[in-house]
Amino acid sequence: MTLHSLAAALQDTAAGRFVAVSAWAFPTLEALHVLCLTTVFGTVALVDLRLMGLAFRDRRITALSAEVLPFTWAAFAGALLTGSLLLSSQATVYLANPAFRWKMLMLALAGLNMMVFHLVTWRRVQAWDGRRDPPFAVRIAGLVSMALWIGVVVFGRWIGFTLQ
Amino acid sequence: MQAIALFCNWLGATPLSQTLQSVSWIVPTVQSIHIVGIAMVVAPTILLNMRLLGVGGKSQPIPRLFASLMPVVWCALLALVISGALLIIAEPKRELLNIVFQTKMALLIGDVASTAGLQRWAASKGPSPAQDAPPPGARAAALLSLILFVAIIGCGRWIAYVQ
Repeated sequence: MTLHSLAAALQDTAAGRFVAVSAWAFPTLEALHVLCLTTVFGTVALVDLRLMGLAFRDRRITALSAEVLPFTWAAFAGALLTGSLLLSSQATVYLANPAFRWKMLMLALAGLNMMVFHLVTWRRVQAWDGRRDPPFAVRIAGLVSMALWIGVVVFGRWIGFTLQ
Repeated sequence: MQAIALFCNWLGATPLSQTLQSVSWIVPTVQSIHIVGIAMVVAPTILLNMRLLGVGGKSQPIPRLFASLMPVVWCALLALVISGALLIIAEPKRELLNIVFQTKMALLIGDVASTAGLQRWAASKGPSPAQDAPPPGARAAALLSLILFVAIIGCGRWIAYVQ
């Protein structure tokens, strides 16, 4: 079971073949994908700006996160669903596209960064929750997060320009 | 429409337009900036409108929420106008002569107007309790704003598919 054979199987599904042949399905899924990914990026950015001490410095980090992250998760689920359907239209072609592979790598690293932050750094959040200038490790987490998500957006855009 | 077509011909021939068209990485980069700008409008707007519709956390009074998030929206809108202008200059006919683009602009004007109205309303509420249920007018405006920007984003993507 190689990645290539998985991709071939995906594009052979009913959904994959439908998106590939329908005139309106792909653009509609793309528009929904943009809506979801901009919501993910924007909500993550609001939290990252706070983590970096650049905005909303009067708000407790825990309070801001609690308000924002449910929207992030809902939008991410939507992005994953729409993205998978877009991918299924020609999965083998996307798999061979360098920009697509870089985007997946950025996505994985962004997820990893968030996991490390929540499992490690977040454990001592009460110590710096209300600080206008969070500790260095927290600010770096915010910066890395922003850089990786910008990478996801940039490589995502490049897919369209480099698809064979 | 003749005047717009003539304007597009003139714009497309300018040195700036020629440069934007010929250097391959410029348009994708400006588009990426445009997407980031969209994100920085969408996220605060969703939070604000959902709050008015009674969804989401209520730890902050509505006027405070508006006061802290609207500056992000207006800065992002500025970035969108600049990046959008560059995209138009790079490919004038693709945008200005496109009915989907024209629709997007009309919807955008409507959305900016309704958002500005909501912001004025929120600012006038003064130090009201956080749990104040917004009046039906504000909730309708919030729902309209959400529908409008979903439509705007849809139009944005569909420009590429309609000519």
